[in-house]
Amino acid sequence: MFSFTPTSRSDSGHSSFSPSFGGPRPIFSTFNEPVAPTKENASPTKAFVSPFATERSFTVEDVRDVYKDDEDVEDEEDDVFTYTLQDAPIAAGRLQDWRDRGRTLKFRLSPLHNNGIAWIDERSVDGGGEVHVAPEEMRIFPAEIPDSALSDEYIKFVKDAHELYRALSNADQIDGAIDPSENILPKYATTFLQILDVARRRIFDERLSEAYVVCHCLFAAYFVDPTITRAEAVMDWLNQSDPRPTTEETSDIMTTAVPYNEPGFWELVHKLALRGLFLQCSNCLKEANMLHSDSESKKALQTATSILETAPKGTKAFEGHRQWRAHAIAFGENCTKLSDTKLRKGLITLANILRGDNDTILALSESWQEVTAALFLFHDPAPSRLSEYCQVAVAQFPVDFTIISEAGCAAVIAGDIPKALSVLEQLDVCVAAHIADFCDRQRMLDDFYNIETLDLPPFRDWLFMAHGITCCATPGTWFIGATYLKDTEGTQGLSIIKESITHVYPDNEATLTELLGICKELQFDNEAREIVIAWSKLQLSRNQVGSAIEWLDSIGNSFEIRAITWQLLESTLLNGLTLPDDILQRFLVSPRLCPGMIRELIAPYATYFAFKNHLNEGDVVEAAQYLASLLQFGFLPGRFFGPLLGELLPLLSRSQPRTLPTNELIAIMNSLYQWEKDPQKYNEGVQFLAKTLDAAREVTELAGDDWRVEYANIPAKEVIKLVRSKLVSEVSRAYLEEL
Amino acid sequence: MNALSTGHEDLIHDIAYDHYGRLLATCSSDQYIKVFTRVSPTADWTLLSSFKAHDANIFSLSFALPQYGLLLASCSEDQTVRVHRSVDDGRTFVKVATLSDSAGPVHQVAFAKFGGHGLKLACIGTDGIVRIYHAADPTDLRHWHLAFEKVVDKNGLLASGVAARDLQGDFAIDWCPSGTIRAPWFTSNLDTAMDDSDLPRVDRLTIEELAVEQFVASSMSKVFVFRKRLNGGLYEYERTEELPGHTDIVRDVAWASNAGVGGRYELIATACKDGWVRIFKLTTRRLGVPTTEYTNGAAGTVSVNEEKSVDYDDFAYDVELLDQFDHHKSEVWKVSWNFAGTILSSSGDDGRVRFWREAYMGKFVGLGVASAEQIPQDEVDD
Repeated sequence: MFSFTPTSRSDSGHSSFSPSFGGPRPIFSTFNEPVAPTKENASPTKAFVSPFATERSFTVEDVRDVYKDDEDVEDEEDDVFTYTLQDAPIAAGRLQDWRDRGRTLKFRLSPLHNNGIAWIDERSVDGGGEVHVAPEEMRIFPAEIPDSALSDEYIKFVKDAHELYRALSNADQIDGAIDPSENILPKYATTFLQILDVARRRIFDERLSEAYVVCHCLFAAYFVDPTITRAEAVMDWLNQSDPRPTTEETSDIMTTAVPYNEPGFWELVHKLALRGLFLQCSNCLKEANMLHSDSESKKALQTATSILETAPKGTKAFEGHRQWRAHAIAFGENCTKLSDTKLRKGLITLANILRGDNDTILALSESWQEVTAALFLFHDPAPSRLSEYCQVAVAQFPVDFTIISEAGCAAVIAGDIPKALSVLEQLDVCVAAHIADFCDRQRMLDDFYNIETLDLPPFRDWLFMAHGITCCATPGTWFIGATYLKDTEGTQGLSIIKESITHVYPDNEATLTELLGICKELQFDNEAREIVIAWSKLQLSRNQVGSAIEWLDSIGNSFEIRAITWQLLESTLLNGLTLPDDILQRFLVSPRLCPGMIRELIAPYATYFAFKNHLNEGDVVEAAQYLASLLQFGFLPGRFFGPLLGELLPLLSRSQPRTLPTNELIAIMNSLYQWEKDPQKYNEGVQFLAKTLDAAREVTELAGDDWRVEYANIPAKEVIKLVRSKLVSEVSRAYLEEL
Repeated sequence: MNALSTGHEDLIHDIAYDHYGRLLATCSSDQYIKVFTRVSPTADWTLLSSFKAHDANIFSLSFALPQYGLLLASCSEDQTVRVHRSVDDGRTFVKVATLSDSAGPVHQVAFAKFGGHGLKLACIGTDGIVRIYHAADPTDLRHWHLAFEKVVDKNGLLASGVAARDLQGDFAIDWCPSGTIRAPWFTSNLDTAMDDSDLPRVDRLTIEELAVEQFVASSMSKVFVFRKRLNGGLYEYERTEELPGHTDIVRDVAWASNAGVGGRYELIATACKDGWVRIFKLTTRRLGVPTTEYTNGAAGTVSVNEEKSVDYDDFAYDVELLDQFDHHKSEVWKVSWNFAGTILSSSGDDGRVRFWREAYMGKFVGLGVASAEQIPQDEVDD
């Protein structure tokens, strides 16, 4: 694949880029740069303040803010993702030499796919190629649009996500408007998260993993499973994205003889409590081997473990929280009476955590995420207070905007969904589009839509269009792309389908049928016609003439069928009769069984075909009848008349019984006269006759019944004269015989 | 994918994809055209056919739409445009027409990209004249009618009517790929609350209602749009809008599909010797130009009503420079759009291909760079 310049990602702030992933680059904003801090939060000490944390609505200007960063980056060339073409033709550091040789680089994109071809040309357009051309300058260099080539693994994720999207759309249609009391979205959100989790583990891509973290955060905050509280979900997200304490940290302390005596014991207990890991925390206290003999200490420890183990969870958590918190407060007050200083301090701090004390939580936390999740879990788990906790947290622990996922999660927690989506779009357009769809279904983007004043598509639709275009440009996922594009509002998505559908190569009839199905559904009649005509041309090039005719008949294209008929006749007169394919054979042999338009339009060739068949079978009288009727056909193009007259020669031999009655002979003579009267037709006919004779001379062996075996060396005009003479002679013979 | 040795014996001047991106043709100063194929869009190209097509440098190639069969046009320093046809899926090509109206080398050739326009071929060369040929009967490719010819711009041409060789004049042409024109008045009264089926959606209109034949052509430093307009009862090509601001020779022009912007406007990119890639936004504006209207008078007579005669379908473009980039820091030679008109590539003397993409607000931002310069060994080791 590509070789990557070492500088390509060096400034990006987040580490690696995996070429094996090749997921789509963001389209909403410039990729490859970290989420640059906005002017408001550029200072590392300044708290993250979401523009949407206040009461005001989202505005397009907010989206523009993201672009200010993009525009800044535009001018910094090194920040643009760069890769080197495979077998790059310019030696390192020799660009100027290459230019001095008068060379330039040109590139053209593929008409559908996300790749193109680069080649080297000379700058002097009028030639003057005095400079020696090196072998590498006569090569072409395939190149892909940066980061647009999707790996098979990533395509699997795209397909899985699409399947879920279809299922959700169907369920949504059945259920109508989503009933808040029976919200189906969390179920689908959980499944989407699982699909994304599987994909990121399979693909080993950092950006997809970062997208997972943001996605998990958003689902925890807004699409929570009804069996748990939002606070539990947020804590669960934190414990998964940043597990603390680690298993090693826990076992280092708890596997000692007296864990209680370890310096880090209380730190461990407090961290477990802070992270809502109540059972583990309780077990630590039980297994600490504390050697307190006094009853008040024992009782305090028992109370602590009891409170931890009875922490309200799931559906009961919200109602039971106030009472449980009161127990924690009372427990903390009781602990002040403990005589053992170490135990007293440890338990009071534990109680302070459990009652959601701001100062304690801030003091023990290491990140804004930890503070937010802990305050949400312990202080008051009312969803409306989440952004408030976030503000408290970021005042002490500023958001690190150089980590894209952190910036995304901050936007989620602050309630700034458009910004969160724009961050997701920087990480993965497919994920961003699906998340936007979930948000849209939950009506979380309504405010953003309502204030739109510019002529822009809804953000969710725009993301789906971006994802749809990527799918359409990726081999094997065009139909998935079309599904997404169909589901966007307005004409933009449909226009993109319309533009791309004729570019899809119908490599088999199943693909063709599928494409035509979409055309029918979307009323793309012109595109359907173009696809069918193009398919018929392909079939012709594969010698599947019957199939080509059948498809053209399906769109009522008489013009093309007629053209095929004449092409068949021309080719046969030139090269001799070849075996037709099965479908064409059926049309030719059983005209009554084929559709009316086909029967009518292929009649001239069918007549010639019958003539040759009867001739092969030795039925010369019948054969002559077919040829005679063809020669009398009023719409026969002039160029065919000459060779067909030549075909008549063997049938006019005196050495065999007469094949044509007088009236037919006279009719043919009349046709010949009419043909000769029209100079253009005559010339065309003679020229083509000469061509058929030339062709016969070039062929080493003609079919035995080919009239040219005997007459190949006679000039075309002489052949016509000979036919005329023989016709006259045959008429006189007929007259004599009829006497 | 690896670089591919084409087998040409001189520099390659142009490449062309067929409509599906399944075939690739290259042309060279060696007077040969080579056609390559690939089994899938990610597979390597393999040579399918090779044939001598001209008697001098071949400058440009273009495949016709597939509904006309496999047709390939080429143009050359030998002052001709030639049309080649294959009936065996590209394995062999036969020359079916030679068009030799040009008074100088022909620089660029382009088949019309929109099916509704018919089988049309545009070309331009050092005589600065854009020519449009039309095969009225696509089944008989021997006959091409010269439907239009006009000097794009006299500036920069010698008195003899051709560009001076030492000026390295360049001339380019590209058809509008979309058959759709959605003028502002078309959607101005749309109510989003309307039933969807009531919307006069672009995709529900017929070819006749939509197809506006137009192309962009450049001659030296001037770029103009040409469009068919009603003139005396006939639709004829006219030079309409200018894309201004080029300070040196324009090397290439590329008209984007308007699908990516839902037909709201058109985008045209230019590559210029002054080092800039420019993207022009063309927004339709209704004109209502007076034209002749015939009305049926009494007793079957026909009278001309000039007062009421207005061509309500006529329009013009408001041209706006949407974006411009000088990142190549050197001459830019080629611009190319993706199928949706949302990604643009540019390439030039810096040995780089630069990619630009349309962002949500409609502006273009950098997407990445493909470099033809090898990485220094020490950086590879690092």
